[in-house]
Amino acid sequence: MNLLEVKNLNTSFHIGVGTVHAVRGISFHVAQGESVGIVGESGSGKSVTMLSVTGLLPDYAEVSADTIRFDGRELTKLSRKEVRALHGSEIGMIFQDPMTSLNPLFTVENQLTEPLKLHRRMDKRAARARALELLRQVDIPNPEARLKQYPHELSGGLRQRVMIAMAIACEPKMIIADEPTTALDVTIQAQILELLQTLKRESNASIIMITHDMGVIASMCSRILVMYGGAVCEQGDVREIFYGAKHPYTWGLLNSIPKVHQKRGEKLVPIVGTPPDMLQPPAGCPFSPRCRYCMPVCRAYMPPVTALSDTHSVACHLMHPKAPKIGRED
Amino acid sequence: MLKYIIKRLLAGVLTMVVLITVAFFMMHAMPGGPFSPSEEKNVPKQVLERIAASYGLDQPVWKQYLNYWKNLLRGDLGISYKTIGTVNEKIAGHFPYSARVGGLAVIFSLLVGIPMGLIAALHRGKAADMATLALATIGISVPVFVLSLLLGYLFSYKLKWLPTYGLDSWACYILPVVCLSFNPIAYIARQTRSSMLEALEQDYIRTARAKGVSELMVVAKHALKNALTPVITYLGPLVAGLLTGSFIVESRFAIPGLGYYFVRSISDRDYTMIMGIVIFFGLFVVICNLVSDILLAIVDPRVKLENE
Ligand SMILES: Nc1ncnc2c1ncn2[C@@H]1O[C@H](COP(=O)(O)OP(=O)(O)OP(=O)(O)O)[C@@H](O)[C@H]1O
Ligand code: SF4
Ligand SMILES: [Mg+2]
Repeated sequence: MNLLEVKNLNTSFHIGVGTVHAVRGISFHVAQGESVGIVGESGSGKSVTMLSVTGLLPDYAEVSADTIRFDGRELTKLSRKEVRALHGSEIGMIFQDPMTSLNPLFTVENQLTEPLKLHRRMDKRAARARALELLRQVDIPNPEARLKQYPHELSGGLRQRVMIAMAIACEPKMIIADEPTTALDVTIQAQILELLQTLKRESNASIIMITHDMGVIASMCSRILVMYGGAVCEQGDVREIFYGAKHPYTWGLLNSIPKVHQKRGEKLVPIVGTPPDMLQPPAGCPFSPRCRYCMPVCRAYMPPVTALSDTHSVACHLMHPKAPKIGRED
Repeated sequence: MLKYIIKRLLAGVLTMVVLITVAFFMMHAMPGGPFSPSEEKNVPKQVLERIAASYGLDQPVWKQYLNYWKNLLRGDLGISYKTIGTVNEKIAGHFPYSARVGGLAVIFSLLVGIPMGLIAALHRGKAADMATLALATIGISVPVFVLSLLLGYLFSYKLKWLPTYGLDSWACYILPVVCLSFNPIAYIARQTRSSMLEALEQDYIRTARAKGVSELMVVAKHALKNALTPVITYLGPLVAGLLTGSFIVESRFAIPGLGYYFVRSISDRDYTMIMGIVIFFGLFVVICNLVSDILLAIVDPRVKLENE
């Protein structure tokens, strides 16, 4: 059964100079216990997608969707209060920058016990006991002392562990991790990923992992959503994307992963060009200005979504029967 | 903490020594003196010289300076040259008036300024925000003496709602307190508004919402505490400034406070009074700033007292 099902999600921001179309017609689902990765360049709309789904965007954001169904409930029809009851209890969130994501003026204990007191109605003592348990679960040494500390007294890695502990405090059904390792040192990144993998093995929660890093996805997720310009350009399970990608942008992403046999000094292949301006997104395929295989039709029409299997689908005009047959090249 | 307080107090003592020295010599550099013929036209010159000599004013300035320190270290500020009584008594007698009016003004400024700033921030760009910004701009640009004249004219003279002078009833406090608070309210409201807007943009606010914290608690707990730290920093100068009294407000509303007597003692060349009040104000400022710094360190654990 699908824990989360999103159909035709559109999100725009009305700002002074115009409207930013951050997310344009996205549909996806996350099954119970499944880990889904969302990849894409900066600005492709990954964070906005998840913030729209969870209703955490500011008021000036306009969110519309045919369906946002979570655990059998239609989120678009719930009141603010009802949605808020899900935050931190059934949906746990981990954000990118642990340096700024914790409130500097409150202790770890105060912030970590907050969701427990709110959703589980725990008293101070019970919440404290649970907080200690959580800190142990995320491998923080000396948890009693850590509870009394303030965020600035912890390293980035420890803070991110506290964030993770906060997200899993009420044993959520779904965990959304928005680039949980990007802001950390490489060695710490590996530790945090390992922790997330352990937590994933130990719980039945679904995980949505947002990242720039295909490597992270390969190690954590069973399915991948590739986003570009506010739309999903390709999605499929890990094998389908890593070995059978059909979208030129996905090819680009895969070519930019460092390879094991890569010689020193050999350059990674970046995708040339800049992401589209979401104030005035291109009329046709958002990737068309940067695509090596761009055809006239690409500039005029949004490519339709072509299903290649139950799980694999691509939004690219190359999938049209009459389009030239082009394969991925290195 | 204790080490820090001692260190700050020592620095304060140093500040006071400099302040006393500068004030003393500047005061003596002013033309005229307490008993110079230009001041007291009706008294024969010889009599004036006798009086001056009896206070040691005929000695060289550096000797007077050393004498002053000798008395000061015993806690003796001397006797007032131009009024009856010792300077210690004068300060003890007049300070309570300034402190009462100033203390009320501090409370009033905070009680009005903080909510104003909060409401403006939470209704950013809407009517309440515009009104606050307009008021704050007026509050910062209108000088106190203009304000006290205007309000006095309107409420005492025209409408006759409020008394013009004295501190005999609670109604007497209204005009002076409002006049004193106007400027601080404007400053506090603007500061609270901008720091609240900044706090609400922070990542930790999003984290709080992601935990399911209610909108009220997001604002009242997570954002407000952060937004108030600049106000706490301002608290030291505010309390020091208001409690020591304002010459303009005190003379306008005939309040026998220290602010008024300070300026009078300067024009009277009442040397001991001038020095006494300067020292008192200096100490007061040093202590207020220390207290607000300690308060800030209590609220914001990132502020490291020891390293300063
Ligand atoms: N609060 C906002 N107001 C206006 N525009 C926004 C806001 N949040 C995001 N956007 C815009 O929406 C677009 C998508 O942003 P989003 O944060 O989802 O990108 P992302 O894929 O998460 O990128 P990154 O990898 O840098 O986190 C961007 O063009 C961004 O400028
Ligand atoms: S639709 Fe056209 S421009 Fe877009 S990715 Fe496919 S080939 Fe390239
Ligand atoms: Mg993002």
